[in-house]
Amino acid sequence: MSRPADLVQGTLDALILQTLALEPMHGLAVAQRLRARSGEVLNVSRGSLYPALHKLEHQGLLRAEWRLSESGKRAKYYSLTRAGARHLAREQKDWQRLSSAISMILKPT
Amino acid sequence: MVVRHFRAWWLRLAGLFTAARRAQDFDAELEAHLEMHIEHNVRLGMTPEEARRHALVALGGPQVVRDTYRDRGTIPLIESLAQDLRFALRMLRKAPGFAATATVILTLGIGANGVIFNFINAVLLKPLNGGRHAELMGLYSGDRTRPDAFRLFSYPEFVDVRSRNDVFAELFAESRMPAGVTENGLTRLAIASYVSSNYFRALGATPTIGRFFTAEEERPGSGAPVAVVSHGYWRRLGMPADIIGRTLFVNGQPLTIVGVAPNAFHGTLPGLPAEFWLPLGGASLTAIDERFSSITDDRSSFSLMVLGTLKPGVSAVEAQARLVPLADALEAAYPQWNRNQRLLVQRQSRVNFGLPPSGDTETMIGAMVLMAISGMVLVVACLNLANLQLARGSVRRQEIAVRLALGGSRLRIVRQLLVEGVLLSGAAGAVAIGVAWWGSARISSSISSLLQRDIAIDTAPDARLLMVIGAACVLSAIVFSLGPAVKLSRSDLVTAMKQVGPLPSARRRRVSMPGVLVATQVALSLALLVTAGVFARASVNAASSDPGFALEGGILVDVDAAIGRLSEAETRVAYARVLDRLRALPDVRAASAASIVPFGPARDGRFVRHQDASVAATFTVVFSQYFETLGIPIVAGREFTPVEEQRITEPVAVIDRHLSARLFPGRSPLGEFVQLARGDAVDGVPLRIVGVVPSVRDDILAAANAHIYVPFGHQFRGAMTFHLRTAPGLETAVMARARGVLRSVDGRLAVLGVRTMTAHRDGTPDLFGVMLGATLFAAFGLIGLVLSAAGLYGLRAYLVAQRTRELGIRLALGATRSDVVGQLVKEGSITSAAGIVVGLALALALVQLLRQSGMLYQVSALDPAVFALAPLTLILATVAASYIPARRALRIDPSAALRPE
Repeated sequence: MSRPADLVQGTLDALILQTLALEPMHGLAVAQRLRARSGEVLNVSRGSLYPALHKLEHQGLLRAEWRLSESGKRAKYYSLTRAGARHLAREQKDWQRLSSAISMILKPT
Repeated sequence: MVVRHFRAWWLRLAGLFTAARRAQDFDAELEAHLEMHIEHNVRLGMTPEEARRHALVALGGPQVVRDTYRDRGTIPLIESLAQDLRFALRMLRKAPGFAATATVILTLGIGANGVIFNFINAVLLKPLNGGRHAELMGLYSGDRTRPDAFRLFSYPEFVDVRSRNDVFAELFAESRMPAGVTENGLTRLAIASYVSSNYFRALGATPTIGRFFTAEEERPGSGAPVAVVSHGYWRRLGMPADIIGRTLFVNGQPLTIVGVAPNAFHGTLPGLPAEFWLPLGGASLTAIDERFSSITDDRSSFSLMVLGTLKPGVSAVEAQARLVPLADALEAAYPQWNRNQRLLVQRQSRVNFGLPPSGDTETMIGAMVLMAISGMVLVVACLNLANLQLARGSVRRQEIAVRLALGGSRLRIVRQLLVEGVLLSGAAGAVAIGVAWWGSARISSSISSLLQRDIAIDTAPDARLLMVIGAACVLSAIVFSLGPAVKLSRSDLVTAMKQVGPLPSARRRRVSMPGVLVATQVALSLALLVTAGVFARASVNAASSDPGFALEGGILVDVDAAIGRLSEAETRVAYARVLDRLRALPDVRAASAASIVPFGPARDGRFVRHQDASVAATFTVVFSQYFETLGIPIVAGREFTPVEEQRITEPVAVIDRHLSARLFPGRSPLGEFVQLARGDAVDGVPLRIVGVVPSVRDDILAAANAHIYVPFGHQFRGAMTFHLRTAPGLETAVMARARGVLRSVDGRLAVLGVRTMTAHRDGTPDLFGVMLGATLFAAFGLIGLVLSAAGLYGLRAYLVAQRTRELGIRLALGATRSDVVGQLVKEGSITSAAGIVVGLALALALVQLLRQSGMLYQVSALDPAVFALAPLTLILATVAASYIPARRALRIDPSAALRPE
């Protein structure tokens, strides 16, 4: 299996933001959700996930806080900030434009 | 967007300080992640062990995550720089020999530049009088028909310009004079300045205690008996609070001290500030020389320097233009004195005072040349270190190769080596600051002892020195680290890691980087050695070439009767008695007196005319026995008689051959008449020539010029220098006796100095300059020589060691040891020969440049001794540097050399 997470650096950021747009969750949940939603295609290495999470936090796109998880354990929950939401919207638009452009080219004529 | 970047940066910066806490937080997060993942896996039906293993694998190894995290968490550059620094320290501690050598080499290089720069800094760059000096303008009165003719100002003229100009914020007048100051019965020579009342205000000075001068005290002829003393004078007295009101004897006149100038007040001539200031009105009281007693209300007596500060926003050029109408008005009102005089405004020099106006450009250029030459020492040091780094690199190549193999970036490795370089040069720089302070203080104290006066040169390190040394450190680190660093980090990984030296003969480049570095060092060292050589030659030439008079056994006693207020009649009687007594002293072969001493600072010139010819000549008033005392033979005619020493029987003169040849070419001047003149004005009666003597040199660095001598009976001088001749070795005893004679004849006679003729010569500022040059450049040249020889030695030793195997083969195949040694020395010589050729060209250019300074007395541009000896020294040093490693390499047994394969 290829390593889609390495495909485009910004892509993983966008995926994380999109995942977290639904609700605040901790790192493991983000990874599992990504895997599940991509139909088991995207298997994000945790070595990439956490640095990305922290980078987004530094950039002010995410905020983090310690909360109790559903199973009663302490975990760090990430949620989207307003700037993060704006960034995600922009990324989505960009991606749509890019992917439609690519698919137009790749479409067998 | 910008805000977000800033926020991210800020968090990272903060991260530098909260790193520990944040690492804990992150560990906790990873912990939680693991636990949850294991739980999840267990829910999926794995055993706990399996669940744990899967979770760990998925996490991708906690340490890797942590590292990636940390690189993001703080500013990596700063953190890795700190890492580099720690690593560099560790590496240097592992090689203390290298670290020490490198620091010493760099200290020599940076220190040499620090000394020179700090001295130049003190003389030319440091702000003076609280920065006021930089604003100071000199006002000059020049003849518009003769571009080089300048004159001083008369007092009424100065007052006119001061009150009627609209460009100067302050305009003041000053006249500096040497004055006899009597303390505890001893009179010494000091610099006093007659100044206008606004002098101190214009220079931004406020009295430490007391007051400065009033307008009434400024008025010429007021005879105000007051003085302001320098802070240094007050300090030497122990800073008495009751200094105000004390009496100071200047030229025999009691003056009341009214004020003390502030500390570090430089006046108008920074290096040599006045020790005492007197109001212009005081000149009528204290001046004994006509130049200064002529500070009067008379428009015809030009005796004042005029300086000032311009109003804000007015430039010197603009001020000069706006002074034209004023000069025209003065010309119209006083055509007798102001015809064709225009007013010139020029920035006041830091090193010159007086006419003609001069800027600091020339001094600056000299300073720059000096800096460039000392810079060569630093370049040699850097090149040397670069080679050391390369040699060390061959040891470190393995370490570097491993780091490259492990994924270290080349940039990071280059940076690492640079950090090491900066660390070394930083350590050297710290020492160099001390060296610079010490060295420049030494130069200034030797100048001070030469002039026998305090000179105000502040050599304490300042921000400027720190900046220059800092820049030298960084630049030299770049020079000596960057090249080797780039080269080393490019090294072929596989070869290096195998730790087998490359087969040297396989691909030996003709021109190698270390070879070029060594050749450049040799070239620069040669240039330095040649410079040292020509300066040494110049000082030897100047000191040893025949001055025209005898130095050994000569004694000089400076006396000024005017300071003690003796009248002319009293002085004549006193001087006659002094000479009688001196001549009667045991061990004194001859004694006389003269108004001017060769090589001395005082000058007195006249034009000597005969018919239409007019020749400039040095004019000396002498007693009888003068020529005998100085060991000057009489070529024709006679000396002056003791009678001529006392009164005029008939106006007579003795001239030297030089003057005789100019005025009376091809015939005897005896019995001919000459006329003295000052400028255009005839001075006195015609003089009959009674004797001819050989020429003497007035300046230690100049050829002999024309001289005319007249007897003391003809011309009176209060200030005379007594000359004594004794046998060499007896000077000290005779000097003490001479002092006793002067004291016993008349206590009022001020003895300003007693010294031997040789000491007098050695104390000549010109000779001092040349000797200082010789010493400095000899030190530079020696450093260069040692460094480049050591550099070549190191290079050859390294190359020869690499070739042990090849040499072994050659020996085994039947080459003799001397063949091989010859070959090796020849190879080394090619490197140094290239350097010597380039160095000779460089040296020629440098000597040409230095010759223009006039300091290289009687040294030709291609001085054979220097241009033969300097390269020879280098050749010997470099041959030795190639020979010794070659010898050592051949001590090994050929079969042993072959075996390691």
